[in-house]
Parts: sequence; structure tokens; C-alpha cells
Amino acid sequence: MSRPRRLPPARLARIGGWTAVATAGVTALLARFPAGWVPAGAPLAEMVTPTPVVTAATSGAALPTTPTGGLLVLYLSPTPGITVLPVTTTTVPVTTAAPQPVTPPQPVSAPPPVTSSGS
Amino acid sequence: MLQQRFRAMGTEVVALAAAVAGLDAVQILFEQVEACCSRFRPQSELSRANADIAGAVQVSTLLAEALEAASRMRALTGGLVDAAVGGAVQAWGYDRTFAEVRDLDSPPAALPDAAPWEIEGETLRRSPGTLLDLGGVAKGWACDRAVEAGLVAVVSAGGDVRSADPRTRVEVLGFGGEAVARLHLGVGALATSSTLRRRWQAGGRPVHHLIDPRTMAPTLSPVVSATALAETAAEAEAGAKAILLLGEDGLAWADRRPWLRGALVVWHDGSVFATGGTEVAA
Repeated sequence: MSRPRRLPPARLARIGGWTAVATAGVTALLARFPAGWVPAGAPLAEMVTPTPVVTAATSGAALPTTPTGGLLVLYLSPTPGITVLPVTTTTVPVTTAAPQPVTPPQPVSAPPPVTSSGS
Repeated sequence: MLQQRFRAMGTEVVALAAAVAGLDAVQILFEQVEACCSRFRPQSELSRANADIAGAVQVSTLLAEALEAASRMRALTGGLVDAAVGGAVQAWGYDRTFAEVRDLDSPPAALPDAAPWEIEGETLRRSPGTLLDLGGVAKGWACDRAVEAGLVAVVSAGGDVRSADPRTRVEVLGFGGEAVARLHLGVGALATSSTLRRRWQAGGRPVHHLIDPRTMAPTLSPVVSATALAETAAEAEAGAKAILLLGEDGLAWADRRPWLRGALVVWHDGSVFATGGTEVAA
């Protein structure tokens, strides 16, 4: 059983740097795909489309073409090949206004006789 | 005081109120009641309940209250005013708004029975296929709601009048639109039922919309117009219809009903008769 070996400060700094980069990447992915996200392989009908969360880390970022070193960069899309349009809120007009009167109200000094002739 | 006229429930509504807000509110109320209780609107709640194949149907509070009023009127009139005549009204050709009703080549070959129905809370129970028609009761009931809610002082819908104004006078119109009687209504209600309006032909014979639940056919009463006075317009409407259906016995029947304040009838020859306590200014 080998004893733990103290690494030199330079290597510790390098590992710390990669750890920071990896942590930032995971954080960005979690922000991009919150709970409820379904893997890309799932059938479309069963997929839950999350509310788009636009962050500076992912919005408009170019896809990396080659690995940039020891860190594996994953670009995950909830709907591969499908452009997800931003969710828009629409307001359905409620028609509760009073129907237009046939004649405008007429001022009367006293109740005029009401007629009753059956309907 | 402001007066406004508008159309609702296939008739003209006249409303008197102290403020425009009340006139606007009464229009909304009538539209709500019509949207709920019309049998001519396929999407009305009543139409959907009529089409429901279940024996018990849950209905809205508004429709439940209208049905409760109809149930009370059926009880007050001993079944003479029954919403269950809807199937017969349709069979006789009044299956669309009256402006669109066409003459029938022959009377209906078969007529449905006036099947029992009941409203308990917001549960309507009736045999599936029973068509309820709230046409008559709903107008009076809407007038009652409008005045009791304080929206208007006086409202008249197709001859059904409800008043909270002690100065209210009513002219009862005859065959040609002439006044056959003038009454001081005051605070109360009045309604007129007539076989002279909403008429068409079935098999060459004139028919009308007042179905007698005892025969499920348009009444052959010698009375062509009956007017009743009561506390509420729903009661007046039910009383007027019952008096007309009872024909020559109508006024005597009305005299024995404490919930009716008075009544008058117009016979087929134009003669006008009234119950003893009815103050009529000719």
C-alpha cells in the first residue's frame, strides 16, 4: 500500500485549475438543463421541454470541434436537430363586456308605463 | 332615472335604473342567464345537460337556481307549468329560435311524456332524453334577480315585469297592440302569457308555444291572453301560464291562490275579465 505522496506546488496549482474549469462546466450544464430534462435518446413524444434558460456561458457559444485538452466538453441538446423557440406568453382576451345596447339610456323623470303583451 | 332597451332571450328588455352601471349590469345578467339557460344555444349549460345521457347531472349554481325556480313553479301550479315540456315543444316545431321556426306539414306523430325531474342542490336528476325548457321561467327569474340585486328599479322582459318602484304602471296589450287594461303595479310583479304570439302552422292548423303538459300539445284554451300579478316575476309568469291553460276555470283558480295578487284574462272574442280584487283602469 503506497503512502500518500505530497505533490509539488506547481502540480497542485495545475490540478486546481482543471478542477475549477470542470466545476464551472458542470455548473453551466446544470443551469442549461435543469431538473426534468430527458436524455436526447428519448422519444420526442415523451420528452419534457424545459423552459429555456439563457446564460452567458451557453447562449450563442460555438461548438468546440476538437478536445481542448484533458477536459471532455459535452454539448447536450434537449431536442437534437430541432430549434427550440423561446416560450412566449399569450393573453387570451376575455369577452365579458356588456353587449352593446340597442338604444342609449334615456333619462326619464318618472317610470313610464311598462307594456305587457305576453311573449 | 334612466331607461334602456335591449334584446335578450329572444325578446325586448326594458330596464329603469338610477345609474348607467345598473343598466350595464342588468344586460350582463341577462346574457349570463341566456348563455346558461337557452335551449337554442347548443353550448348553453342547459343544452349540454339535456344532451347528457347520465341520469344525474352536476350543474352550475346558476343553472341549479334557475331549475329550483322552475321546480317551485311546477309545485305552485300543480304541474301545469312544467319545464319537462321541452321535448313536446321541439316535436311541435319550436326547435330553434322563433324567427327560424317553419311550418310543419303534419302534427308530430308521437309526443314524449312530461317525465319527472328534480333538482337537489346542484344535482339534476331526470330520465335521459327528457328535455327541459326554461324559456318562460328564466325570463321572469332573471327580472327577479335584477331587481332583488338592486341593479335596476324596474325591468320588463317580454311581458314579465318586476318592479321596486311604487310608481310603476303597466299597460296590458291586446290583439292589435292596443291597451286593454291599465294597472298600477307599484312594488311587485306582473306577467302576461298569450297564444297570440309565437304562432306557426302544423298540418295546416295554427299552433303556438304554450304547451299543456296534460296533453303535450299547444293548448286549445278559449283564453288567448292571461295576466297575473304576484310578488315575483317568476310567480307571475307561472300564474299567467296556468290561468291560460285552465281556460274558463283560470280566474277562479287564481282567486284561490294566495301567492297571486290578481289576474285578468282576454277571451278569444276580445272580452276582458279580471279577478275581484284587481284594480283595472280601462
